[in-house]
Amino acid sequence: MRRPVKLTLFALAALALVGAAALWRTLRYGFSAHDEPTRMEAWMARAARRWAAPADLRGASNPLALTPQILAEARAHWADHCASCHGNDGKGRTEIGEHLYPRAPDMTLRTTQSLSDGELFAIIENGIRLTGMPGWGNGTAESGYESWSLVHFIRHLPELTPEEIAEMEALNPKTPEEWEEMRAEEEFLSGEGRSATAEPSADHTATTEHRH
Amino acid sequence: MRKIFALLLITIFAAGAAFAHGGKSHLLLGTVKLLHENHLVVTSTDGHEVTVTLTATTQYEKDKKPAARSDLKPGARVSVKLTEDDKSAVKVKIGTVPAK
Repeated sequence: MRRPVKLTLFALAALALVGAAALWRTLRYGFSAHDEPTRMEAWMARAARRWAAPADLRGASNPLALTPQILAEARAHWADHCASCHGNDGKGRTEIGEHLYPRAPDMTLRTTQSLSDGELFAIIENGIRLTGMPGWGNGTAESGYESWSLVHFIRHLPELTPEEIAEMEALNPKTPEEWEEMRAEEEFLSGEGRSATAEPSADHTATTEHRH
Repeated sequence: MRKIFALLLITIFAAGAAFAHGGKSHLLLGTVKLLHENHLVVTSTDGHEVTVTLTATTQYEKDKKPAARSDLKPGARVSVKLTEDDKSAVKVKIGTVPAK
């Protein structure tokens, strides 16, 4: 048998063996959203994300001119609709975002920022299949305006200031419990409400037994 | 053929091995009792002493504006947003310091 044929057969056999081992593991242990996506999955998902954008949008630039008003509107929209998963800073470090499969990405990084305006718009409008990203668009001019505004905000994420984040925190959706917690927190910090009973110490170097 | 394709898909989607438990971050309200280089001890409103690690990524806020680690003083009322394991501070909001 010729050498290239032998090598091909060997590679196919090795591939089949790895596949069989992965299949055995899957059937034995099942799988969950707690797992980290494999490199193969991540590659496939990124490729699918690119293919999902309609051809006429892939290279499109944002038709909306960037103005402070559009950025402010998009910031408020993001805080209300997107931050639950993506976080106000777009880094995905939220309870939902960190438990999605795949995890909500850090959108300040190149993997997101390298997408074209049109690709970002298509993702917002149409969502991404087999992920937690819903399609928000409904084909109307209003929806298009909001999505293109959000594209501007996504481009702004790497330069988001602490002041902007503080402003967005006030706009994030909250449960009645979270409103109550926020009220109690503000009351406590302003000097009202319950205080701790122990006297504070000014000894910065003191050691004490405490709970870890 | 369809079965083989389905099995292949399952194989690809299941090869990950890492496992992590999730949870909810918590809010700690209390008074700064001790302040160390990398951690602080807070007397919580229910009287317990809680040690919280301060990391390089811990954010500070005072009067709804960004603040710094140096704004923390013993005796100050604080609200600490903790990490899921309750050990490190994600964000420390600094409130009033009672006059002596």
